[in-house]
Amino acid sequence: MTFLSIRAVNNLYIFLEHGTIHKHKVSHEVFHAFCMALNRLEHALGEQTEDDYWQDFLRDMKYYRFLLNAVPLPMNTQHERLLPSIQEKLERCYLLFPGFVSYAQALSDKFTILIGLPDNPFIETIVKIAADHQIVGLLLKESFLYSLVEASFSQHPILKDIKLVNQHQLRGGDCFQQLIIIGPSYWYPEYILRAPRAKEIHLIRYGWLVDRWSPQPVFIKPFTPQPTRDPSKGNDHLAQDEKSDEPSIFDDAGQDMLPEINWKHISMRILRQAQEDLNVEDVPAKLYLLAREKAVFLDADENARAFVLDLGIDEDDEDEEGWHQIRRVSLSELISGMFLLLRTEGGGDYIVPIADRILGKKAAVLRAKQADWKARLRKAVEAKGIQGLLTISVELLDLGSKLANETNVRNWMSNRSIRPSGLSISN
Amino acid sequence: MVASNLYYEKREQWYPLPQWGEFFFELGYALGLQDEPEKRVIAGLALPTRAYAASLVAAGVVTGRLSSPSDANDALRRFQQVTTLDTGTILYYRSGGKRKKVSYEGLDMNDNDLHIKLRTGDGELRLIPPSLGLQIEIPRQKFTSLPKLSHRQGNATLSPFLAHFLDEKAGRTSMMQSYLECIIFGSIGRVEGEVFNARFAVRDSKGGFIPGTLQDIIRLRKFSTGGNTYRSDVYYVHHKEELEAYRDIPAVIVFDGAKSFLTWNAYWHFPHCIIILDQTEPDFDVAVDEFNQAFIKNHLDDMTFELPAKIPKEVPLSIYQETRK
Repeated sequence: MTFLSIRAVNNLYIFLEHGTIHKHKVSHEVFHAFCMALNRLEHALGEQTEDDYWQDFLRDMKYYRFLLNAVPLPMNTQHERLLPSIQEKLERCYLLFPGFVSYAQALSDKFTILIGLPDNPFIETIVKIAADHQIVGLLLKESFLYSLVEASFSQHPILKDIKLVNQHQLRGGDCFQQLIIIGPSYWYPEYILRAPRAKEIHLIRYGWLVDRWSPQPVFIKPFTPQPTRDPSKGNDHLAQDEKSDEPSIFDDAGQDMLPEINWKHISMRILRQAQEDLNVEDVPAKLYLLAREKAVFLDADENARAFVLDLGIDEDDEDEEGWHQIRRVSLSELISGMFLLLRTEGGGDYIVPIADRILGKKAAVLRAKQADWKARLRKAVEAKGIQGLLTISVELLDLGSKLANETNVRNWMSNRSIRPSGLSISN
Repeated sequence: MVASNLYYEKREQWYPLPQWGEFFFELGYALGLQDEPEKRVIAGLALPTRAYAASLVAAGVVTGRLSSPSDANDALRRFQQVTTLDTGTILYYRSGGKRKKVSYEGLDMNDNDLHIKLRTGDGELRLIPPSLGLQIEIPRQKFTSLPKLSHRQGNATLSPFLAHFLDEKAGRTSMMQSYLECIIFGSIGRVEGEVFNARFAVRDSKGGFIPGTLQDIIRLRKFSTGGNTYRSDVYYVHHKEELEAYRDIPAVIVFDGAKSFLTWNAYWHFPHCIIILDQTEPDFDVAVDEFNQAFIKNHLDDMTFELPAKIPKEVPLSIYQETRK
C-alpha cells in the first residue's frame, strides 16, 4: 500500500508552485539534412509509399529518424542492422524505381555520414544538466527505448547515475531534482508538466519540432484565476524557441514522425507463423497491438477475458472486491496503456503430458477415442457452416448439456481440453 | 483558522501544517458550517496527488459540524430517520458510555409526547424522546437477530489531543454521540494510512505538543472498534452494497478520485460534495468534463458560499452552488 508522508506530499506542492520548466533546443546539421531528405522522398513518392518495397524501405528509415529524435544515443546507433539493409534496398531501387533513385540516394548518403558519427546533441545537453545534480530522472517517449539507453548510459561516468523513469512512475511520490524529458511536450501526458515530480523539468528536443505548450484552464469556471505559470519561468529558452531558425519539417507538428503501426505487416507475420503451427485451430480473433511493433490475436468471442496489469488503478484503490491492478477483464474492456498478461510458453502445454501420465496404460486407447469424438465434433460444426458453433451448441443443449455454448464447444473441439465438463462422452 | 492549530511530524520535530493542508481542512470546515436548506455546494479540485486531501477535508467537516449550533436539529433528524425504519430493525443505543444492540419497536404516543420504542436483548423496553435521537445509531451493516445480552463498553475518555484541538463540549459530544457528518468514497487503504499512521499534534497552553492522529478527529466508522462513536465513514469506490448502506445522509460527501466521482456522483443530490481529482489519474479528463457539464447544467448564479482559506497556488479549483434535491 502506497502511503506518502506529509513531507513527501509537501514536496509535490512545492514543485507545483515553484518548479520550473526549461526548454532546450538542440540541432544537428547532418541529422536535420537526413530528416529533410526523408521528407522529400516521401513527398515525391506520394501514394506510392503504400508499395511494399517503399513500405519496407521507409520503415527502417523512419524508425531511425524516430529513434534519434527520441533517444539520447550516438548517431551511429543501429548501423550494423540498418546499413546493409539500406544498401541492399538502394540497389533494388535502381531496377524497380529508377525515377526515385536520386531521392533514395540522397537519403542513403546522409545516413551513411550519420552512422559514422558517435556524437549526439541530446547527450551533450544531458551531461551539462546532470553534471551538478544527484537525483536526475530521464523520461522517454516509448518503453522499448529504455533498454537501448540503459546499455549506453551504463558506460558513461555521469549518465550512469541517471534514473530512467516511465510515465506511470511519475504519478506517485518519487521525485527528482531534475527531470529530463526527450522530445516535445505533446508526446507526453499533460500531468507530467502540470503535476511535476521534479524541481526542474528539462524538455530537450530538436529545433525543428515545434513545442508551444502552455497550461490550459481545467475548469470552465474557476473559483480563482487558473494557473498562470510561465512554462519557461527562470530561463530564457522559450524566447529563443519562438525565434526558431529551423522551421518545422513535419506536417503535423511532428506527430507524423511517430512510428507508424504497420498492421498489414504484423498481421502477415502472425498468419505466417500460424500456418506453420499444426496445433493452431481456426477461431474468430481480433488483433491487439502490443508495444514494439508486436501484436497478438485474442479470441473475438464477447465472453473472452484476459489477465491484465492495469496501472491506471492506483494500488491505493485496490479493494477486497476484485478491483485489483492484476485482474481478469473482458476483452472489450481492454484499453490502451494496460499491460496484457500473456503466456508465451509453458503452462497449458503441460496439460496433455500430465493427463497422459495420470491415465497411464489407458492413455493410448482413451486418446484415440478422444481424437475420434473431437474430430467428429469438428466435422459436425464445419458441416453447419458459419453458424456451426451456435447450431451445435443448441443441439447439445437439447441433448441435455447444461454448459454448451459457442465458447465451450470451441474449447471441446480443441485437443488441449480433456472433455466437456458435465457431459459424458457417450452423450 | 482552526487548522493553524495542527502540526505534523517531520524527523521527530513538529511543524505547522503546510498551507495546502490548512486549505483542505478549512474547505471542509467551511462546508461543515454551510447549512442552507435549499442549496448545496459543489467543489472540484485538480491536485498533483490525492494524498491527505480527503482525510484533511473530512477532519475539517467534522470539526466544523461539531462547532455549529445545530445539535438539536441533528437529534430530531436522527429521530425522524429511525421512525422510517421497519419495526424489528436492529439498532445501537448508546447510554452511559456503553453501546447496546436494540430492536426498533415503533413509536409510542403518550400525552402528545412522541417516543421511539427500543427493546433490549433482555426484553427491557426503553422510550427515547426526540431530544435523545443521537443516542440511537443505525449500524453500518444489517443485523438479523438481537442477542440476549449485547453491549460494548466504548472508550469515552477524551484524549488530550482532541481535548486541546476541539473545545471541551465538542470533544465530549464527539466521544459520546455518533453522527455521520462526512462520507469518503475512495481508497480505504490510503485513508487508513493517513488517519492512523501520520502523526499530528496540537499545542497545549505551555507551548508543548500533544500528539494524536486524524482518526481522533474524524472517527471513521469503518475503523471504529468496539463501542466507540463515529463521525465519518469511508467506502470503496467499487462498493457493491446497495444504497441501503447510506441511510444516513451526511453533511458532506468526498469523492476521492475521478473513478469515485464518476461512479457515485449520480447517487447524491442533497449533501455538499467535494470532488478531489488527481491530475495524474487516467480518468482525470473524463471527470473534469463531467464536472464542467454539471456546472453548466446546475449552477446557481447567486453564490452565497465564501471560502475563508487561501487556495494553494497553481491548484485549479471550481466551486458552485446548486439546488438540493
